[in-house]
Amino acid sequence: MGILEETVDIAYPQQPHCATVLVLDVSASMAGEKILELSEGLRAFIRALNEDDLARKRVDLAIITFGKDVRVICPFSAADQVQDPVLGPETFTPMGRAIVRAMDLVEERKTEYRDLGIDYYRPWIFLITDGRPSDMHPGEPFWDEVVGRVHDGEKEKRFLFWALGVDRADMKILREIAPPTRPPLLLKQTRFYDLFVWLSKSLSRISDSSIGEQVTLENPAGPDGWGIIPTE
Amino acid sequence: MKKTGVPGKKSSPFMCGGSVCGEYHGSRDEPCQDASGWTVVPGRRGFPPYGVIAVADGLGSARLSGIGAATAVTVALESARSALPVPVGSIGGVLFDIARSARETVLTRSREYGCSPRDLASTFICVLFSRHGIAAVHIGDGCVVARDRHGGLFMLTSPGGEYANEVVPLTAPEWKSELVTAYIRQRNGSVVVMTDGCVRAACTGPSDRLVPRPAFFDPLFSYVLSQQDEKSASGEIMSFLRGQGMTRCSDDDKTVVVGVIHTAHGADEITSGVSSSRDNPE
Repeated sequence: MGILEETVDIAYPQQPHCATVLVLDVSASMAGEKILELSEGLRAFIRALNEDDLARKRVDLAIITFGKDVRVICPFSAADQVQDPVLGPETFTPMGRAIVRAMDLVEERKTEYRDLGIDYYRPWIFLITDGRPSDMHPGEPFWDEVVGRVHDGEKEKRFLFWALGVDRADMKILREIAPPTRPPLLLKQTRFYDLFVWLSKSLSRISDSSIGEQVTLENPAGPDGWGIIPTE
Repeated sequence: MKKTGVPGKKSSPFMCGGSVCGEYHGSRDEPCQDASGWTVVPGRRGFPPYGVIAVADGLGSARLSGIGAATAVTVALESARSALPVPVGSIGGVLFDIARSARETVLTRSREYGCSPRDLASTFICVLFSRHGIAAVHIGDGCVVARDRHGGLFMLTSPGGEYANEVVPLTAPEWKSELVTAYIRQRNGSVVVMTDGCVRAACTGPSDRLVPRPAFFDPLFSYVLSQQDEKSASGEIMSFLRGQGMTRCSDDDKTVVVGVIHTAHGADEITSGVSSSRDNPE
């Protein structure tokens, strides 16, 4: 062993982390096949993260549902700590408050990372809905607050915001909520499984990237993708 | 390899170090994408000799980034040899010109290869130091740590952004606004330049407010200050970078280059502060 190996004290940092928040619509309109497939896709997603060594160490997953209320059913956790999420249909669609909660969670998590000296990737917020918000409408102050925070947050690189519509989702409303640079996607049929496979692959690729390495993701709206970008 | 400094000779820059391939690239039979080099510009016309250190870290997502990094380092050293020595007041302009020359040559190389400048993307650090002070120009991650003769450590530049995999490289269109220059008046100060593969082993704190750890830097500076032969000192540093400790810390390529001023006598320190900016000196 050389003199430097004997004398220099090396710090061992934690793995860089990738905070990811799923914001899931569990309103009454999701009842039936949709919520069953969403649940199954979510389980497959968590299984896939657990099967990837780096993703398991680096992805911090939080899950928020919005139905009767906004609930953080899973606070930020490594994939192997996530309990089997139980999703049940509820009334109302408080999407606006759920988005705000997700953005707050991300900021809180980044503060924790910084306090601990942990490097981190840009957080992801992934909204999935088949409807339209019941707690905010265009022109209302709360709408402006929520949409403004999403657009500013994306522009200022505080997070990546993905909006995904399912079935009869109001894509016009989603287009206004989503950042202008990342229009909302409409899920083909109910391909939740494909969506979550893509999400786990994307997070795995980010997790496997070195510090300083930029990552190109598969286009979810490509020919084999699970989503389309509605033009109307 | 020739000696770059001689202990006992008044105010002679001495540099050593190198770049080693990390496990990530090694396991894929890919070459090291870090590049590093140094040179001494002899003193003349009343100016002291300068030590020049150039380091670049090719971005993992850029397929020819190792070539881009090596090109940037080579051009930086050539540019410094042509430009130095200059009065302290002109150092900022010289550093900017060095970065610009390195960038332009990398862009020319991309046209020769028929590829995008993005394919040759790398970070870039160039440090000029003499018995009067230490100056740096820097874009991308990695860091430059300076030390005064009392052992005080300063983070001279560490312009990496908030996120782990988002770096603005030298080839980026917005390079001017992201370029950081810094100068510290420091009699006979020492300096370490390192790429991101070593940063977390050596520093604490959030990525945009890194703090150098004395437990890492003090033994490193002490070792180099005691050395006379560049080749053997560089071999020791590269062996350290390849060792289990550093490998356990990161699988990335690693570069450490240390510059010190060897003096005949103990030197008086005249620290007067650090200036740093992202402003374009043009």
